[in-house]
Amino acid sequence: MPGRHVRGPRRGTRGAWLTLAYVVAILCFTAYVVLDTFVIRRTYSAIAVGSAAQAGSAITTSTDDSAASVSLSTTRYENTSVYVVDLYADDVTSIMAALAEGTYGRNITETTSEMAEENSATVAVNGDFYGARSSGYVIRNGILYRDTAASDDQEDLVIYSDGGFDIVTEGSTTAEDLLDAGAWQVFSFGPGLIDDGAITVTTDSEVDQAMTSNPRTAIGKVSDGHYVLVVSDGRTSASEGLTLYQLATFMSEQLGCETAYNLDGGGSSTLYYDGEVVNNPTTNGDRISERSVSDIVYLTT
Amino acid sequence: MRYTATAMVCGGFSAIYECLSHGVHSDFMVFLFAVPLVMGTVPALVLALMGREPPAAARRLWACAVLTLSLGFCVEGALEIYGTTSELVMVYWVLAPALAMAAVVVGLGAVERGPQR
Repeated sequence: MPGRHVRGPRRGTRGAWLTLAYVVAILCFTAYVVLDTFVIRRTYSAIAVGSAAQAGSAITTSTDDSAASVSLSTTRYENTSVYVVDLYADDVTSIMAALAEGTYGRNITETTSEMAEENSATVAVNGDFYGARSSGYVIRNGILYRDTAASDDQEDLVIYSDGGFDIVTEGSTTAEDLLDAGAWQVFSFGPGLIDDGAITVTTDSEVDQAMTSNPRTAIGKVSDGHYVLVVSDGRTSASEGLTLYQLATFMSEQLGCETAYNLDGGGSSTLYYDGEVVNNPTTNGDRISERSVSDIVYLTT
Repeated sequence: MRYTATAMVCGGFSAIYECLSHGVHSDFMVFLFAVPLVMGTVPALVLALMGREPPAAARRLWACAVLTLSLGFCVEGALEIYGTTSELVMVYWVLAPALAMAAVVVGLGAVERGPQR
């Protein structure tokens, strides 16, 4: 049949065009995935407001300035510059969190110093960069923003409005239960470094795929009313950075923390104190530059 | 040859990406080169040794599967290294096996029909 002789090439041409169309489509989809993950801004509403938020806002507006104080010290530890801010606050709700542009969402970021200035913070560090992930509990200033668990063994830091610090796994509780229990802040990064005075990481512990010394940010409780923020430099010739175990050891032995928790680190690690960034945040390698992040932890005196 | 060249390009790309990742690594990025190598070069060699050549439709579907899986590995690796996630990546893990299965079905169908001329 004459028709059969021409059908083959036509079918082949059609197949080539279909293949080309698929290649274009999958490349466009890949571009969309990248844009959706890193560029396209999405905002979401809060899920619930806890009793701690209502009480906290009242306390915050009536807190006497002298009720909270801060002091900064710098030390060298394991060939790394480490910055320690001691926070003394009668009321733990003085430890506030701020979201970039005051908005909860994805791909909404500002630098730590920008957020600190907008909130008149005396001291601020980067938070857990919740916006880089689509799951993991988020409670800030007593308001529940995200209640989807990242995984059963994801360790969160819970700061209760009564001053208690607790490290919990997301598989052991729900975000709603934490809110009902009076959670003021819940950070979902980790891991927990010290719990009940004992170091809970090993020399092999790391954040996901990272296996090197890094800039770090951590928060800890020394005793009732005494808290610490710790930031270390890293990835530079002047500072190697710390492993999680070194960070935990420092906070246990040098600072006497009974609870400590690792926040987002690497290029995000930033410490703002008294109007300026005092550490050496690194972005894109060893370039000293502040990275834009989703959130900060801060205190105003 | 195309798959081998693609594997080499993927290997070079992931090596450079890993070098710039400050010690953060992702198995998806590390083994990106293996996708075209295992799914492309190896089957092509086996078929060549057997003296078989699959029909064009099956080859195209298989190439689309390899491309989709390679892109999935690349995107997932980049996201892991950055420390983020995206539910959209699931599309690659669904599409790639579906295309591969379609290629196998089309290929086997051609074998069963045998030579048509």
